[in-house]
Amino acid sequence: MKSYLSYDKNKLLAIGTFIIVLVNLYLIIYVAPMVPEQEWAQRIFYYHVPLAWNSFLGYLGVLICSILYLVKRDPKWDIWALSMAESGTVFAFLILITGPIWAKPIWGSPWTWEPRLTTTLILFLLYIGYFMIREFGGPYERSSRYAAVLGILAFVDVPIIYFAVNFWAPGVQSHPQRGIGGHDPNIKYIFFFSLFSFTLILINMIRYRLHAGRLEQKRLEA
Amino acid sequence: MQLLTLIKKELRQEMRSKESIVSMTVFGVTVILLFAFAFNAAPAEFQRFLPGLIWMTYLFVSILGLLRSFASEKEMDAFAALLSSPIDRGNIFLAKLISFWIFIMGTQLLTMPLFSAFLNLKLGLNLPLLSGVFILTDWSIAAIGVMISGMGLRTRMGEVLVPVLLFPLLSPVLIGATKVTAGILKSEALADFNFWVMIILTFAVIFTLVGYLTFGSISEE
Repeated sequence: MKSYLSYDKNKLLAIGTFIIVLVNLYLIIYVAPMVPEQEWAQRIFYYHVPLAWNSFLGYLGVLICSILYLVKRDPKWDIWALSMAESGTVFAFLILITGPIWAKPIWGSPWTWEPRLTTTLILFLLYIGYFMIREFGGPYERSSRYAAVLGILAFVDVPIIYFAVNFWAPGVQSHPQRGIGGHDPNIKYIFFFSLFSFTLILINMIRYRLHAGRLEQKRLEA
Repeated sequence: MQLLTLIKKELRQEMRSKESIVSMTVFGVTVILLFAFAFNAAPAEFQRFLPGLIWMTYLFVSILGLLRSFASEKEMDAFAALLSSPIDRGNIFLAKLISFWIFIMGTQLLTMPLFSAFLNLKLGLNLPLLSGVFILTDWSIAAIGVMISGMGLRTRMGEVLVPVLLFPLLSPVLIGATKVTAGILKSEALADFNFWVMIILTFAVIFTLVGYLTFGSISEE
């Protein structure tokens, strides 16, 4: 089997994404207007929110592919679920890093029990368990089934965790994204461009991981 | 009927071996004593941490009990025999859930007096409300616990995987139970912690359903 980039379609997608990400960086650093009070710290908003979006997309994908896998028992869906879980977790990890970077100058301390950040942390821990069960779950057929059940459990738990944490720490209200839309229409355009470019990165990552997963499957079958 | 037979089987097994309840109670007593030694504080200060300590203790105790609950199924491949009989997998899940629920409540019945004795927990008039919280929370712990231990114990790293998966999944219940317990102990108005009861209830209902539906995929060989 050929390598990932030897396919024209993948090459085009990767190069296109690279250019768009460069443009995105340029827009964020040079074009985006300053928001009073937050200054440079606010710019992480163009980065932090798309990360959360990607992570959410990834985990939603895990839920859908897990259900499909349990119903149809086609290994294809297991590879899809794994690819989405890995990509989603990378982004969840980045949220956990960028959140405190933003919070340090704005809230004065890197970590607060802010509901979304806390939910992300718990979700991240759950997915560590997800990869552990894939690794130690025994034979492929069984561990992938367990992982699928866990993918469903984790996603179902998220809204409950969110509501619980939200009510648990009600004092914390401010988010990078809150109340920013009203300042300047440019912010909105640049934000959506950033969202778009990050989604492209996610698509690249998932496609790459799928390719690797299929190769692995072939090796197992051979 | 099937369900009743399965529950009876679990209870009879426990009656004969007394493995779960004894190990859970002894462990619970140890943890409570450790807390009493570690937080050698004035009784008044204790009241603030007490709800958290109570649920920490029972979470640890549940882990121990859950690890036991499927260990007996491993011996002489009892689980394989259970699965080869024409029993609905969902019912196996419910039977495990209900029996574990009974075990953990039994353990709490035996160990709660120690919280009063050593850690100054004022049971008294709070008892009816507290029991309600315990019944509900224990059900949630059992529902998710039986699922996780059903998976974890047939893997290589079961003893590690069960707590690693259980704690994050249970976090909303733990937060809720701690809040409600604190509210009851401070004799706050019921309306103040309605929300938390709803969270635990939602969790219990959803995960009982999800468990019932997916236990088949977990238990097949």
